[in-house]
Formats: sequence, structure tokens, C-alpha cells
Amino acid sequence: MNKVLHFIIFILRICIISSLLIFVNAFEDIGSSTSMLILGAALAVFIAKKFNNQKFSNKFFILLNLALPILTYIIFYLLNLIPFKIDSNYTLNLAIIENHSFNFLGIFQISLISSYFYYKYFNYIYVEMIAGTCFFLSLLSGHRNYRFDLMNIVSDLAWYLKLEQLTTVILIGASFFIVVFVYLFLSSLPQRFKKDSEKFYSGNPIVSYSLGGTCLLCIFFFLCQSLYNFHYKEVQTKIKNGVSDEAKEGVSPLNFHSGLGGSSQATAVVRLEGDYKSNPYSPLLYFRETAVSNLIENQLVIASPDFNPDVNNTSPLSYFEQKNDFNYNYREPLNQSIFLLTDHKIAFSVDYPINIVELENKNERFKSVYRAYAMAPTFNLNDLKNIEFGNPNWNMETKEHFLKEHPDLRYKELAEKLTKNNPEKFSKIKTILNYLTKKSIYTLQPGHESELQGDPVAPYLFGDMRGYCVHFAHATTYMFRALGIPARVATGYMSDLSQSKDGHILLRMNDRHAWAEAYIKNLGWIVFDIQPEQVESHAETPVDADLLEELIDMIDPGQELIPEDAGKDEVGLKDKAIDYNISKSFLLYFIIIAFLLILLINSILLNLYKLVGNKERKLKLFYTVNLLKLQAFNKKREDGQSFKSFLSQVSNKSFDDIDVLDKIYFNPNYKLESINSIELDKLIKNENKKFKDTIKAIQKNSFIKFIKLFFMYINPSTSIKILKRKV
Amino acid sequence: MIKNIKNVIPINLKTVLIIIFLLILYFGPVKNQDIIADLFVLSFASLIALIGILVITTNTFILKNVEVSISNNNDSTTSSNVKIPYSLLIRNARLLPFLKLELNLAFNNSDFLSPSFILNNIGKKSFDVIGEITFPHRGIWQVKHVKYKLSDQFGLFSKAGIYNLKENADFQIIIDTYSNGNFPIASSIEKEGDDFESNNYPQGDPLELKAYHPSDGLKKIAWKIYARNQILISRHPERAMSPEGTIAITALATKDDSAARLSLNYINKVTQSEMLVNFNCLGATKEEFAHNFINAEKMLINSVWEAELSLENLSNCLNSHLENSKEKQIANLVIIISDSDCVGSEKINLISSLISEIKSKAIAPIIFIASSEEIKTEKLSSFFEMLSQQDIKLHTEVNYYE
Repeated sequence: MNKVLHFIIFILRICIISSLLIFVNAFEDIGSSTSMLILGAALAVFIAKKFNNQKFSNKFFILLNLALPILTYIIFYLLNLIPFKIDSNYTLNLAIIENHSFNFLGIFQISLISSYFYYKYFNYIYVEMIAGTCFFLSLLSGHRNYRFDLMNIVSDLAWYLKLEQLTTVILIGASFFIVVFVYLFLSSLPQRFKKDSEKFYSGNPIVSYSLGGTCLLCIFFFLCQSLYNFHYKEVQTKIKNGVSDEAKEGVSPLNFHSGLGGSSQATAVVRLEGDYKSNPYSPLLYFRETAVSNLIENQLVIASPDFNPDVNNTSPLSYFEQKNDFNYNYREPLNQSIFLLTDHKIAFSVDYPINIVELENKNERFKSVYRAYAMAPTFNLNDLKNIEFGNPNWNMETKEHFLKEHPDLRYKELAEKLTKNNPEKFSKIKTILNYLTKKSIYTLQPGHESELQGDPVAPYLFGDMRGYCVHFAHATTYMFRALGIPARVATGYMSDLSQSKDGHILLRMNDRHAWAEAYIKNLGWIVFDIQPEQVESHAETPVDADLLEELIDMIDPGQELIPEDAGKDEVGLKDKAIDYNISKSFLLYFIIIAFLLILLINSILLNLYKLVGNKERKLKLFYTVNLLKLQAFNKKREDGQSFKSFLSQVSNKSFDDIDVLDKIYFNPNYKLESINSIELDKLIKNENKKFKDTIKAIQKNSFIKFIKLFFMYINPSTSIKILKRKV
Repeated sequence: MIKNIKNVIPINLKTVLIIIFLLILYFGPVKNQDIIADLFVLSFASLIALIGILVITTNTFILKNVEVSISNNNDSTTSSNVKIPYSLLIRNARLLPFLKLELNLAFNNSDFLSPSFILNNIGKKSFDVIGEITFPHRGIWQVKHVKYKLSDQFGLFSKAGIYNLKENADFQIIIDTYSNGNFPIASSIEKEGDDFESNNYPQGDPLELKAYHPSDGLKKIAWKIYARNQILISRHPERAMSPEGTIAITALATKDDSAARLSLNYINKVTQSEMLVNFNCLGATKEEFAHNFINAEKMLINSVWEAELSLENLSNCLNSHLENSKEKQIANLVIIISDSDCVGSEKINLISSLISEIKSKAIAPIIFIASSEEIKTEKLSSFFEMLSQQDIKLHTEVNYYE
């Protein structure tokens, strides 16, 4: 039972270290083969177990661990100093091997030290648990504040398991806890640290642990469920930012709790079916989802569809057709295929959608696919002259609707103050936009929480000017209206076309945007967005090109509209991979180095007894070394043969303390108390001389003697025999 | 205060540290919506709470009803350093998973505890377990109570207590003796010609020599006389009708059994030589004396709990010998001491003062040092120095090899 338990723990330990390595490698490429590192870790666990059986002192163990990297460093330093170059890629190859060696050594030593203490002390498991937890939590800390999208592992796993990201994160946490618990449970089984004198009595462990385990699992499942429910609400409010909310009349999908688009989670891929070169906002592209224009008290909410007939407010799964007659001056048709990656309650498209049709979804990765045929603007505002605002066809109610001013008179005061020198409305717009662009400070956390019940825009505009797009859009709208310009706040996505690929645009949570729109006669609703010059916190992150490429590959290739020469730009862009093929001569050279390394290690170990402080260990090491030397001359001790009889058989000399050695060997608890350290050194010196004489007597030819001893020095098993101290 | 808390919640330092770690996690990552940290904190806190409740509940309700009885399977007496089997019958000890119960026997007069019994996953109402115990020294070891320590297997909580036994149980540990030994025998009444030479070379009495007769056998011939004078003389030793002398022995036998072992062997040898023995030891009453092996053994076993190397005990030993032999002057007093009691200035001073006192009474002390293994001379150098200052003869004897 004990052997099985130890074996399970041994395997589990290797598995945990291996999974940690794989995990770390997934986050940050270590630069060496994972299997090689796992091998190093497994080897270290094995050696640590053996070390523990040998009862090495902690001091010796620490010294050994300090010596290893220093030794490796010295070797590579010396190799770098070698003046001749046996290979043209010598330096590169050496650097690669050095890198691999240090990676291997690092993992080996971490594993060795942790495993050594794990096998030695019961409470060490808790140190390991705490360290492991901190390490694991720091690895996965990217998901904090519900930024699941920042963790590729979460997105990939959620994608693979077809689960929500929140569920996936909880699943990762639960798996981690279960592994920790099982490991803790097995490591703390009373059998593991039972002393020989202690008696252990156990009832039926299978029944008992099954019952206990089931109870714990039920409690754990309940905890996970509660945790999910608790975080689910937060995720809904903080992460989705209204993306999945329905556009209900009288409510605003926008909120002022946190900045829109706090995460870079991919939400949709838009494929523009054709060039859109005359985009007036280039390189930006605005996808409108809905608009809020109804001012109730101090907040803009979704108005009746009659006021905003250009806004579809329909689900991506339902058919939409524009029935109103619009003046499509300065607009051109633009077809867009939209592949949704997350649930959207409202379909969005570039500007005036004419119709929206659901398409067949051929890939499970996409939640739904639709095509929007829209009339996209092509005008240049700077070219337009005699701009008039408002639609002459609007009735009074609509006119009032879009001109309804904010009850807070400060908006009007500010707007008038800013634009008093501008007689023209269009220049007034420019002045307001300039003012906001220069004065506003972009931040996702403006810290105006205390104003939640009141007007959330006032603390921004009349306060510290800190805010995000929702604040800017509302402030712009309120001031436009104060100046008699019909305005509304539109919400949807804003994307940078420079990050698109072959007409494919990846939309993400942090592309969610709100902007102000004003109605210009004969042009319709025009975007008036600001980009503050001062930025306190920036949510913008570059588009994940790999993800976009992966998603492009998933889109039905039959519908691809990629120009034939599109691939040309990519030629030569691939990173030049380092040639890892090491030449044969270098391998040969490396084998020689390996032999030298073994020679060095063996030389150190063969003289280690001179450094050891413990008297018994010193004596035992000394005799081991000399017996090994005798073994090199085919003088081998029989199994179970006492050293006294062996040495009397080999040599005619009398070895004084050989009785003591027999006692030390056969009784590990034997203490050498009859002799002090100085006397021991003297004794060792004398005995050494006798051993030398014996070897001389055995082999008179000094050349053969040298060869035989040399082979002992380059034999890797010499180190193992010395460490095991069994000859 | 901490003790009071520990009485209510049997928490360990390790658990406190883990709770602090969980609190750090809670006020750090968890407050920043780290779901994995949240799950970890919640799960581990629940586990700690659950295990704490299990330990407290088990200790309060289940372990109250536990009954423990001991049966010593070994009918004959056993010596120290020998494993003695015994069985522990446990009733009403049901243990929930993840809990373990450690039981040890505690004894009167000593801090010695038996090796632990570790029990877990117990569902049976009653069961017995067989254990082995090795006592460190001679004596009658009366079981005082059974110590228990209830803890979870993770070592987070522990609660200790005792179970009193319904019936008394004891283990009688005797002193193992050996037959070999090479002792000088010194009578307490000194006669001219007495020597401390080994009894392997006994000196002949001239009155016991007779002219050789062929029926005498070759072994009786005194060959040395023949070699010198070419006369065949044979020896005819006669058994004495009364004891040849009296030997006064004091065993300074503390809880190290080697001195006791040597004393018994010495008594055995002396009584075989038809000599009278006056034996006493540390911890024995002032009037008490043993004159043979059996009584000496009893005395050594019974006195072990009081056998401390103290001035009072040493004076008792000496005075009882003096009082006992008022009529005859004691010339020699054999003192047997173990090597472990010859180390340390305090002990050496005590023995030195005893020797001085003995010498002041015109008695020659003869010191025997007993050791269970090879005598380490460097360890006893201070003791030897003291003896040489006191001009004392010494005989060392290794009486036990493992």
C-alpha cells in the first residue's frame, strides 16, 4: 500500500510539474522543448526521492544546488573563450545549447529543491500549495475585472468546450482546486509519514473516502454554482455593456458604470463586400446599432421607432427592410457580411441599412451571420457649403424631439459662451468639438459614481472633464441641441480600418462606441465624434491578427473576395526562423564537452570527502572513493563481504579503522565518537597512502594505471556510486 | 488567552498562516474580481471550516464514549530493549473520513510514551489492535492513561486528551544477564595476600598439596613444582564449610540498565565462589540489603524510579553498608556504575565526594564501570582523571554487545 501510494504521489508530482510547465509555456515561450524540460523535472523528482532516502544534510544539498548553475556557467564561459572555431555556426550553436542547458537546469533545480523538501518535511506541502497558488493566480490574473478576452487560454477553452467564458474560468479554477486538494490529500495520508515503530490501523478507506469525497464534491459544486450566480450579474452589467440588451423604448443601453468596451473580446467579424474608398471618416468606420434621442429628465433613452426610422432596432435573426424613403445624396451602397461571435440582440451596420438578411451559419464558431445592405456616406464635410440642419419634412413633434434641451441650463450657457463668436451653425459645431477634443481627458474610470442618481454627464463637462465616449457623446448632443442643432447619441461599433485584413474587420468589445450625430439637410444623420487629446487610460489594443486570420479561414471560402495579388505583401514577412539543425562536427565537439563535464563532476565528487564536515560521512566517502579506485583494477568487493576481509584479501597492509567502516556501513546510526576531526584527517592521510601503495602493488605499470584511473574518471556511473556511497 | 482559544477551537499555527494567506487573497485578487482566487478562497475556507467542525464535533460527541483497555499478551517478564507485544481494545471510536486518532500509552513515574497507534476511517464499534513496545529500562511500568490526539489528516486542527483505563495494566521489565565476564573478586575484609588479580589464575594453598597418587588424575598435578623439583605433587582443594569472605557491593544503577546488569552478573559470580554478598543500590531503603541474585534483582527493579544520582542517595548507600557491618571493618567496597553516569561535572563531583567519604572511613573503593558498548575513553577522560587523583583502581567491563 505504501509503495503504491508513494508511486502515485511520484507520478502525480511529475504530472503537476509537467502541467505547470505546459501552462507556463503556453503563456510565455520558455524557448526549449517542453518534453525535454518535463524529462528534467521528472528526473529531479526521482533524484530528490533518492536523495531523501540517502539522508543528505540540507547544507550539502544547498551547496550542491548552488554549485550546479555556477559550474554550468563556468563551462559555457570557458567554451566561449576557446579561440579556435570548429564550425562556422559555433557561437550560435553554443548560444542555443547554453540557452537550452540553462532552461533545463533551471527547471531541474526548481523541481529538485521543491521535491527534496516535499519528501523531507510534512508541512512543506503547504508552502508548495501557497507558492503554487500564487503562481497559478498570477498566471491567470489577466482575467481579473472580467477581462476574460485577455486570456487566450480562456477564450480557446471556452471555444473548444462551447462554454461561456465565465463558466470556463470557474471550470479552470475548480480543476485547479481539485488537483490541489487531491495532491494535498494524498501527500498528507497518515501512511506517508508513519514511523517504523508506529502502528497504523485503518478501517475501509475506500468506503470512507468515497463518502467523504462525495460530500465534499457536493459542497464544492454548490460553491461553484453560487460563485457563478454571483459573478454572472456582474458580468452582465460590466462586460456586455449593452451588447446583448434589447433596444427597449424608454431605456438606454448605455450605462455610466464603467467605460464602454473594457475588454478586447472579439464580438464579430465584418466583411465588406467591395471597396469603400470614399469613407468620409476614413480610417474610422462607424457601425450603428441603435440611437438614443428621447430626453427624459436628464437622460437620453431610446425613442419611438417613428423618430428614428433609419435605425433598424431589429434582431440579426430577423429580416429588416427599410420602408421609408430617404434622400440618399452623397451615399453609396455597401454590402456587409457580419459574422457574430457573441450574442447580439440588435443587428448593426454601416449607417443607413436598407435591408438585413440572415445568412446560413456554416461554422459553429459564429453565433449567427447576416448580410446588411446599407447606404454608406461618401461626402466630405469640408466640401459642403451652406449646410442646414434638420429635415424640412419633419413634423413639429419630431423637430422638438431632436431639439429638446437638457434641463440643466449650464449646457446652454457653455455652448453659447463657446460659440458666441461663430455666427454659422457648422462652425459652432466645429468649435464645440474642438473644445471637447482639447479639454476632455479620456479615462475608463472617471470616478463619478456619486453622481449616479443625477446627471452623469454634468460632473464630466462642468467638473474634471474626465470621461469616456458616452460622456463625450452626451455632452456634444446636449450642447448641439442647446444651439438648435437636432442631435442624438448613436451607439454601436467604431473600428479602425487600418487593422482590417482583406476587407475583414474584427470587432471587439473595446470597439463598442457611442458618438453624437447631427441631422444635416439632404445628408441625413452625420457622425460628430471627438477623439480627446488627453488620454488617461486607454483601452485600445491591437487587433489579434492571428485570431482574425483564423476567423477568416472559417468564413465560407466560396464567398471570398480576396484580390489575386493580396498575398504578395506577405512574402518575406515571415520571421526568419533560426536554424536549429546542429552540424555533425558540433555534435562531436559537444560529446567531448560532455565527457569533460563528466570528468569535472567526477573529479569534484572523488575529492568531495575533503570538504565534508560530518565525520561518518567523510570517512564513508573516503573509503568509497578508494574502493572505487580498487574496483577500477578489478578488485571488487563481494556482496555482503565485510570491508575488513575485502581489504585484507586485496592488500597486505593493515587498515586501522576498517572495523569502524563496517559499523558505519551496516549500521547507519553509528556515531564516530572515539575520534575528533583532526585525528580523522590524520587517519585519512595515512590510509590514503596505504591505498596508493596497494594500487601501486596491484598495477606496477604506471601508464596502465593512469588509463584505468582515467576511465574511472570519465565513467558517469562513478558519480552515481559516490552519491549512493555503495561500492 | 491563546490557550483558551485553543481549547475552544483546536487550531494550529499552520492553519492560522493559511487563513492569513486566504485573507490576503480575499483582500487582494478577490476584490479585483479574480474569479479563480475567489473560488480558491471560498473552497479552502469552507474546507477549513468543515474540518474544524468535524474535529470539534468528533472530539465532543464521539470520543467521549470511547473505552480503551489493554491486555499484556506477554505472560513472562521481559527485559528492556526487547519488543513486548500487547493489544489495545478500543470501543465506540468511530472516525469520520479525513480524521485520524493517535493513541499512546503513558506510564506512572516516567515521561516515556509508547509508540503511537494511528487510526483512521474507523466505522466499527469495537476492534483491537496489536502493538509493540520497547521499554528503555527495568522496572514495573504501570500504565497511567492512554493519551490521544485527534487531528485531521491535513494537520490543520488537533485536539489532545486522555482516556483513563478501567483496569490497571502494568509491564514488568527485568534485567537481562549474561554468563561471560571477567571480574576480580575483592573481599570486604582484607587479608594479607589478597589481590585483585583475575580469578582465572587462582593461587593455591600449600596445605592443599599432597604427594601425587596415580588415581588423582593428570589435571591435579602441580606441574610448576614438578618442573622445578622433579617431584609430582597433586592439588586437593577442599570446599570451605563457611563463606570465604563478604563482599560489599553498591550499585549506582540509575535508569541506565548497564550498571544493574553488571551488578547482577557480579553477584552471580561471587555467590558461585561461596562468598557472602551485601548488596544495595541507589533508591533502595537504608535498611534494605540483598544477599543473593534474586533479592538483588528485585531490589534493582523496585528501586529504579527513585534511582537518581544524588548526594542523599549516595550517602544512604554508604551509611547502610557502614551500619550493617559495624562489627567487622569493611576494607573494600565495590562500586558499580554505568559509563553514562560518569560523564558531566556534576555527576563526577558527586561520585568524587562519595569516594572521598568512603576513603575517610578507611575503606578502599573499587570502581566497576559498566557499559552497554565499547567504552569510549575520551568521553570518560574527566572521570578517569578524578579517579587517578583519588588513587583508585579501576576495572571496566563491557557487558552488552548489540
